[in-house]
Amino acid sequence: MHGLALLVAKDLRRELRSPLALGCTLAFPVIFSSLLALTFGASGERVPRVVLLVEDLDHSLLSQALVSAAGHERIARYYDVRPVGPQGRAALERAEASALLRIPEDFGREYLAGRPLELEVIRNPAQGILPEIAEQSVQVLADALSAASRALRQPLAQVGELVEAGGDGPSAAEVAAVAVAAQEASRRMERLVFPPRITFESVEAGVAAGSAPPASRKDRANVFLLILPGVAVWSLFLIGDLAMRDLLTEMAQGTLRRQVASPLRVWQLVLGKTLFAATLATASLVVLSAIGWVAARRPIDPLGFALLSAAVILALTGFAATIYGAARSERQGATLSNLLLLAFAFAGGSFIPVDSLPAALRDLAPLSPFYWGGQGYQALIAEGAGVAELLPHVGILVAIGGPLFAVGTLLLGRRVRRGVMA
Amino acid sequence: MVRVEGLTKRFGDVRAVNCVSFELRRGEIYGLLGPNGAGKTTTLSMLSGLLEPDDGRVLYEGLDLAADPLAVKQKLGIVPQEVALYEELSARENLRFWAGLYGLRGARLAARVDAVLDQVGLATRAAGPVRTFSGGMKRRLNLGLGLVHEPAVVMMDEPTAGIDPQARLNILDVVRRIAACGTTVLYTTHYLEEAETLCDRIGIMDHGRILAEGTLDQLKRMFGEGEIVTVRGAFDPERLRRLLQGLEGVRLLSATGERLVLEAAGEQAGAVRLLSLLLGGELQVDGVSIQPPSLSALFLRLTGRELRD
Repeated sequence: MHGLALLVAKDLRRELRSPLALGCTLAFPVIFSSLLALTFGASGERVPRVVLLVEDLDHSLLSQALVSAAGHERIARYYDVRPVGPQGRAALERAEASALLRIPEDFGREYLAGRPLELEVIRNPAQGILPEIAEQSVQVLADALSAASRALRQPLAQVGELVEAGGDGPSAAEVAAVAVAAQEASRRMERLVFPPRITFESVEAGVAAGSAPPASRKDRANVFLLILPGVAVWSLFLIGDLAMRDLLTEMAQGTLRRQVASPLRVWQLVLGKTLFAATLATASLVVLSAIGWVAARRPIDPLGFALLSAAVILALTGFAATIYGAARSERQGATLSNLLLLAFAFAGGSFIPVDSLPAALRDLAPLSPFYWGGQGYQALIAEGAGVAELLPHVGILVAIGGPLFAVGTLLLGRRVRRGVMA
Repeated sequence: MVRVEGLTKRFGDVRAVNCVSFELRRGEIYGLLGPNGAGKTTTLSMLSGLLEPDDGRVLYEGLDLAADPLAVKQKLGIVPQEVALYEELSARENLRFWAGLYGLRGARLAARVDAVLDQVGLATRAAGPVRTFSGGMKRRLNLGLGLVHEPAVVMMDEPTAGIDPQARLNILDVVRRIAACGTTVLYTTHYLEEAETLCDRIGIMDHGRILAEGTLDQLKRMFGEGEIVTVRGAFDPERLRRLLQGLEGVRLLSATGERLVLEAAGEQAGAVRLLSLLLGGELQVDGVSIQPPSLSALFLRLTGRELRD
């Protein structure tokens, strides 16, 4: 035990005397996340969602159906759609939303009659990316409505007539006629034509970026916290890699040979380096968590955090031990490790959220330990997840890290014996 | 103190060490002398427990290295050929780490660290990072790390390679002092003068074998007092052999197309006859050197080549 403690203390002392590589690796996730947060122009507690105010001047069946559809669970993950009245513009000027969508009067009637319409989107100039997302989303909605208007011209006209007729409501025969017409039209769906019949105009609200009063911290979205967990997991793996690589560095500089000649067993030397990697990763995790806490200022489940962190550290030490145990040289190991870490990071959503990845990569994401680590920390921070919610993440990380750790330390032991005896 | 019996190590088809046996006595400096590739470092690696022998065994005070390596390693100090230090740490931190690995603690550890810093002349630079040290200072610290736990036996693998004369003298002085205090030293070198002036006994090693062993005087007596004559020129080996056949007291040790190494015995009579032959124009001679009896001459006689070859 004393020997292990000496080995770890020696490595930590060396690391502190030459902290540039560790410092850069630790600084990267903070700088990267901060830059993205600055780009998105937001900070606060929650992960970012596009806050879209909808001022419905029509109050027709169709306009209300559109607003209700925005509350669908899948859409609600990314958009916070809030119906507002005439005060919507004022709310936007207070920077409480990313954009304001105005549905004009007679929208439903005109649409059913097939007449050209215009939706108005007012952007919040105090934000960077989110108003752009809102605008693009409304564009997609307009395109979809235009296409539907052309493809379903006849049934829509029939529905319009029925709505205009009022009375006791349509008869069964009238409904059947609309249904038949809709079915017929759906066969011709391929023949959607352009240009769209509905367009929208995008105008900037008349507020200067600096003049908008800041929204309360709680209400503002936090890109920093969305990005930090994934990039932090990536940097933790890099730190594990740096630490385990040191075993091969020691082999090259002769100090490992000297240690093997001392009254320590080879497995103690390997375990010592593994403990060093784990200690360094834990210290780094504490630093990154402190930064995350300063940004979030919200309590997280300590047991969940500890369990998830232990699983991440097991995975990263196992990964690095396997790479450097199997590599023929330090250089080969470093190259292989960097390539794999980058691949895992991209596939696991460390740099780009998994939902934004191409479908093929999205399917591969669960194979990456970065995915489970990043998603786990995000769940802890953003959703207040506890131990029960984190068990799948912890379980899968242990399932990946455990065997890697066992194989890696065995390979490293063999590597050390061969390396110092060559 | 240390007994080496029939130590053998093969790397593929090459026998790096071939049935090597010798003994180290308490407090002696035993020099293992041989050119690069002779098998010295491989022998040392096996004696340090870094390399498992294919055959043979090593006994430390009756304790078999293979049977109880940790107990034996506790008594051993090694000074590797390469400078194996942590350059980010100070000399004191390096010494404390290695002393700790060998189980030293507290006041004893601190006292040993101070003593070794004094011994290797680094007390005034103890706190500075090793990366700022000169080559000689690093060599001295490298030596100190092998001594810090007061081992009974120290293995030194060419500890003075590539350093300035002053640092070399300092290291040799330290080696003499620890031996005088009862530490057994196994010292490999390819510097003849080091072996001659430092070692109590010398084993001459080449091609994985110990060719001769003993004190310097014993070795000289063992192999006679003849001069070694080295002739450089252009030779036809067959013609040369015929010429030398009738020459009494001259023995051909090695011959190539450009160099002859001969032993001329018998109060220089052989050498004189040999020189007459050479000067008589029978052979094309570009240069001749005659070495009086010495370790270098002995090495040449045993191996047919000089140490620097």
